[in-house]
Amino acid sequence: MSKQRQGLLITGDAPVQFTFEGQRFSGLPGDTLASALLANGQWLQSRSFKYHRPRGPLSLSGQDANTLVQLGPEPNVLADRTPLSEGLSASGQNYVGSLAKDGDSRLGFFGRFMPVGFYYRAFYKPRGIWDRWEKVIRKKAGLGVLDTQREAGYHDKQYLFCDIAVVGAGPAGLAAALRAADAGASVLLIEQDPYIGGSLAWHRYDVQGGAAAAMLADLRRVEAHPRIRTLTDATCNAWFADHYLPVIQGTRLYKVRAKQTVLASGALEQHVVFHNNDLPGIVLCSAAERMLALYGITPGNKALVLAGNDQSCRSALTLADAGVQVSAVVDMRASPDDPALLQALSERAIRYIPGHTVYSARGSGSQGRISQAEIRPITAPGEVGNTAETIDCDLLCMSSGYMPAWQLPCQAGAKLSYQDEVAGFRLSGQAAGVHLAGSVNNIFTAEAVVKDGERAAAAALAALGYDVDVPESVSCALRPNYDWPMFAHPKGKEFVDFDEDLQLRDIVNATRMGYRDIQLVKRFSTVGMGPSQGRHSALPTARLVAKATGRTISETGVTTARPPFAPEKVAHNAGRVLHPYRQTPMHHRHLEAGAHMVPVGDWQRPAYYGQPDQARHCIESEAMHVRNAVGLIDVGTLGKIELRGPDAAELLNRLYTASFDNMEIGSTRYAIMTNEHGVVIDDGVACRLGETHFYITATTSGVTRVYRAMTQWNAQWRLDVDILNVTGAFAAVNLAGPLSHKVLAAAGTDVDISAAGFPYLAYREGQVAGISARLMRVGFVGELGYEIHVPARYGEALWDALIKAGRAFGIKPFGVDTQRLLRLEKGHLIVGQDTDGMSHPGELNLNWAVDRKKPFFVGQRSVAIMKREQTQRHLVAFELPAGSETPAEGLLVLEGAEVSGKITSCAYSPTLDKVIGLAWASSAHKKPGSQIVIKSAGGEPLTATVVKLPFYDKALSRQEIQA
Amino acid sequence: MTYQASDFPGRSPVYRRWQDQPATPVGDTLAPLVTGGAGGAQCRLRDLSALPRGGLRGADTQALLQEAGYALPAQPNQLVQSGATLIARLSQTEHWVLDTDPAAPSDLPAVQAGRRVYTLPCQDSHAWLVLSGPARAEVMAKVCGVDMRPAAFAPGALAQTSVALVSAIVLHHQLEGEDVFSLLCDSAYADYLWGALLDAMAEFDDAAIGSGAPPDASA
Repeated sequence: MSKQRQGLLITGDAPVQFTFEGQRFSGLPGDTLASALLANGQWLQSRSFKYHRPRGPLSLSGQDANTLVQLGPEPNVLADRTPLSEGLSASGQNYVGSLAKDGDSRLGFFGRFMPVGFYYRAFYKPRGIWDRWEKVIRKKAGLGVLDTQREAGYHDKQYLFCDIAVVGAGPAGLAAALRAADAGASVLLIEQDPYIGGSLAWHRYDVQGGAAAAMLADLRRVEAHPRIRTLTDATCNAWFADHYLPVIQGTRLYKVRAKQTVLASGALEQHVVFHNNDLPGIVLCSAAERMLALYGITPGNKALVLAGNDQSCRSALTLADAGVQVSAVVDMRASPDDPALLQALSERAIRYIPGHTVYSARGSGSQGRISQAEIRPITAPGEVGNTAETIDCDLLCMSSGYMPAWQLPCQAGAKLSYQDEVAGFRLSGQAAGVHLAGSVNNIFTAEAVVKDGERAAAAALAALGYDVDVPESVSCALRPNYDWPMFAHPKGKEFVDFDEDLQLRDIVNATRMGYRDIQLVKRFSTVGMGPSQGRHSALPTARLVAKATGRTISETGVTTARPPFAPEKVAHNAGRVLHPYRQTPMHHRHLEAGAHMVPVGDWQRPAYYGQPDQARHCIESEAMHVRNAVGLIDVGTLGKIELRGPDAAELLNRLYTASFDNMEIGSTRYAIMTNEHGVVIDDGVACRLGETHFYITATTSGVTRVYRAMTQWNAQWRLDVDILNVTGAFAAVNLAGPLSHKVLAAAGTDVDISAAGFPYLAYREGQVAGISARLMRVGFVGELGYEIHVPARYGEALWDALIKAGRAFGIKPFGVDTQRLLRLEKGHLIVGQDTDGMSHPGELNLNWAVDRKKPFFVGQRSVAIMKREQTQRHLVAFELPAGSETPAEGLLVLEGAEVSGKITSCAYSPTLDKVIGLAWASSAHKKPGSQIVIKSAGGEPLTATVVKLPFYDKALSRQEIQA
Repeated sequence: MTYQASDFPGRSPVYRRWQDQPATPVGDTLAPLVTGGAGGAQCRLRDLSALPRGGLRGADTQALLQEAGYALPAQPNQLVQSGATLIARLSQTEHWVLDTDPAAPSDLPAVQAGRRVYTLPCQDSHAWLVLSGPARAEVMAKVCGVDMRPAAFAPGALAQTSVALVSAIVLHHQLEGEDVFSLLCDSAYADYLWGALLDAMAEFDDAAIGSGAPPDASA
């Protein structure tokens, strides 16, 4: 009964109800989905990828693909890593019909017709057949069902800083953490499992039992240590340079920044390769021990142990002591290393059969669980004799040895070398500051593992400057790896790689087809490319390829283990999706006035005031209001730069095309900036506040670039000038329209705003509505207007004051889309919209803004050359009569069949009752009166007339106070 | 007396985030009123944007401030706290002076003509937020790549870095007897940063949000 289960992770006895494959089950708090299913006798948990073979847990630690299930909308969830929760609903995946009766399991019978690499050699002949096959293959490809509509939910990231990161909280990691923290270092201990202790929590380290528990009790000191932070259920998914470790825990990605790393990542127990070694009920010895210790599950009634080392013999003792009938220990070796094991097995009436292996297994029942194993004597590496004995069993525990968890060390630069005397790989040569400890370092006895952890910590401490003695390297005499645990069978199905259903002959055949390099074998056969990434297939594959190609296993090696170590979600990498935004001080006033806000870079700006379905009406009525009365626009997003110092004018001279030496204090000047290629990259207005003080505006999107250019150039020039980006420090509005001066007067100002006192293009400072302000008489929208800049904290109050003062004059706010129409009527271009990455001043009719006499400005030489050249294109102004289609910006301008340009700006002008626009066109058509042909959205040609700018107010009278 | 932020010409860029809380005038700006520090909360976010601050930079800045009697940090990226006044050194030639006590604002020395000293509009260019409470370094670790644990970022430390993807200056100093982080960010990003910090704070129990200026402000 499940109520009686006692396990390290079982935290209560209240049943937890869940369903799997539509069937109701009950587990216990602390169970994983896989353990709860096992406790209910449900061994069949998945179907294999290729042959749809029944599969159950292999490692029960999330290191294999046998427990991949569909969890609601999420495919490929490891059942042995999924905590059980009330109402959880899961199902198997990759089947036709049901998990128990998978119609595709018949594919196994055709295995001989689907040799390795057959995908690459089939389905493409005769020509055109792929189109038919593709549908079938795509249907069969992949595991699980992806819900493309699913929201990822809340994921975030956090940095974690420490002196020493210890990956793995087994005995080596715990010992390392304690040694380091006791010496004063801050330690981050990262453990993939939900508990600390690693194998001490479930493995029997001595024949009598009990040594592990005593050792763990001592090491549990980490839990209360003030300098150790422990993350359990947390996977370190990579080692990156400078000890940057991404660690995933739940929905959070920790970005760990350590100064030193101790990798105590353990070793992966390896399976034995024999016929039908993948049946449910065939597990690694460690899995059976986990079932017992962690979840209190009796893994079987009649067990057989296939041993390649003393560890697996001790597993047999543990099983027997837990009440499991262990029929025999079939040991591939001639004898155990520890003779006391024979006595202990004998005391428990467990047969010990040395020099034998399980040659094949048979499954039965609805779950295909193992029911019989055939054992045979080993006569030579990989070969067996003819004497066969069949043993009934419902559990087969196997261990052929261990593979150091090589992924993180190899990412840290370590190399694997195979050592024949221990029949295993050893890691060495990792980056400075990375220290291996414990079984990843081929140390296996508990005492030696602890010492190795302490040694690694001491080495890390010494590297951090602690005055510590670093012990000599720790040695371990244990030899837990059996050198050739692979036994070919005439019927095949001796799986090397469970993920991809790769059998012994698949690997060997790959080498026979000429793929001798391990990386090519991988790509051809797909070995190691499944979800478990070669955790159990890398070692046998290296051995097989080495033998088949006549090389050493070290020469053969294993394939690259790139990050991530375990699957991670895009949502983990995305974390919080932050979208920085900037708001002007008047932002909420725009919202209150019903503005339709649009993003402009990070800024949020009102496009117009009103509903989007009324956009054109809103824009046109706002525009007419500015032309006929008065409007107010928030231009606080404009870039603003202060230049102060004796060389301020000189810096401007060198960076902008105009000359600034002769500018009068209290005046403004239009300024365009070119880059070294003579391309116009920004424009704005320069105001001279004093002899050595300028205030420059730049475009909203260009100011960062302008500021960067200024500081970058001045790093070379070393001019005596201070360059300060004050974009956010000033709020700004443009009060525009024939009544604007009346509104300004009504708001209250001490500035003389008479026509003579404040002429066009002048700059003044004074009070506006009691607020200190900088005022500019500029005419971007083509009407009398005042650009008013105030310290940002007063921006909202300024807006409020102007709106209040303007009520008597019918003031209305207008948005940036309206401004775009108004400036188009006035013929002002927008850098970035009407220009591109090649536009030089001559093409843009901006030669007037280029001072040809001054000695230098950035781009001067290029501008001069381009001026001499016969230009191919020109930015022209065009008109279409009222009632014409308004061609969209971006539509092409044609010259015969050739494209000669495109429309950059176009709108219907309610003021002029015409369609007006700017377009790139052939230079041949730049003269007013020329005709250009626009390819309309429907493909029909539209003939437009080129005109002289401005479209509106050719007399330039509107920018003055109207009589 | 109950005040409305809109009754004052100066307004914090995040005043709407705390406008339902008690507030008090600081100069021509309304500031939220606070009663004590983070208290029992794990973390607390406050708005000190109304409090006085200013900056100077240029080759002669250090000399000018020293002549005016200021004790200056020895190195860039450090700050000196003198009572309620913080003097932050952002570079060899740039210093900011921030006053946590609005009743006694520091008057930056006047800049004589010809000296290479330029004033900085810190009061308007930057919002001033304060993150306090024992979880403050953990909150910062969710939005900033600089190690701000006390051992690595002690009081007196200053970082010019990226917080939740926007540029910010972080100062570690004392306020009302507790160690706090002051965050100075472009005032136009202040509302965004306030929201991003609230998001980072949300996992902590008793995260207190909003109220602002030190208790002296009500005096």
